[in-house]
Amino acid sequence: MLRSHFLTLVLFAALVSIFFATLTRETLKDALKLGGLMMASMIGISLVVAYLMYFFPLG
Amino acid sequence: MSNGGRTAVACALAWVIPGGGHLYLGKRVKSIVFFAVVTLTFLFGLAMDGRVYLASPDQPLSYLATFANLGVGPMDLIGRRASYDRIIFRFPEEMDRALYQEILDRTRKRILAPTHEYGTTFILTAGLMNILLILDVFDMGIGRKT
Repeated sequence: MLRSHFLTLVLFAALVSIFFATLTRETLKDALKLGGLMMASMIGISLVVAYLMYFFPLG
Repeated sequence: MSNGGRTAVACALAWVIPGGGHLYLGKRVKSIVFFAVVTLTFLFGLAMDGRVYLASPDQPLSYLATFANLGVGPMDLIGRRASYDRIIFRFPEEMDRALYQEILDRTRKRILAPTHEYGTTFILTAGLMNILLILDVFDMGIGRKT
């Protein structure tokens, strides 16, 4: 199965975004817009947090 | 059928089959998407060595996690079978030594897998998403949402 943390994140973001976009929007155009924004936000914010955590001491 | 009865049937269907409530209320495309997303999330979780939770009095939060797992409906039984090789909902008492040890060993085996935490999160998320679907169907049934 997936061993890459990043691909797991992308998969999770995609599934959750599709779900919420379908749940809260009625037209395909609106759903795609919200889904894309949500997925990009989840991945973007996770990468920023991951980068900040790089400065945390390991031990 | 009365509006209340229709809503109850839709909610029950939504729990049994992800997207089933939406299909019952005539939202065909949405129901297909919901079924696919919730089922895939659950199956990806199992494939990543995730596990379903067992309720344990020692860990009160495990009741909430077990409730979230049960949200996915009868599919949860597949998760229990895959996680513990049996249908079990409560962590066995320590007095039941053999079963206690067996469940502990199976839990440890899953936890050692590198993708275990991701998998468990996927499985929990599938349950929570289906609970949201049941609430959505309820809102549509009582006319709060069109």
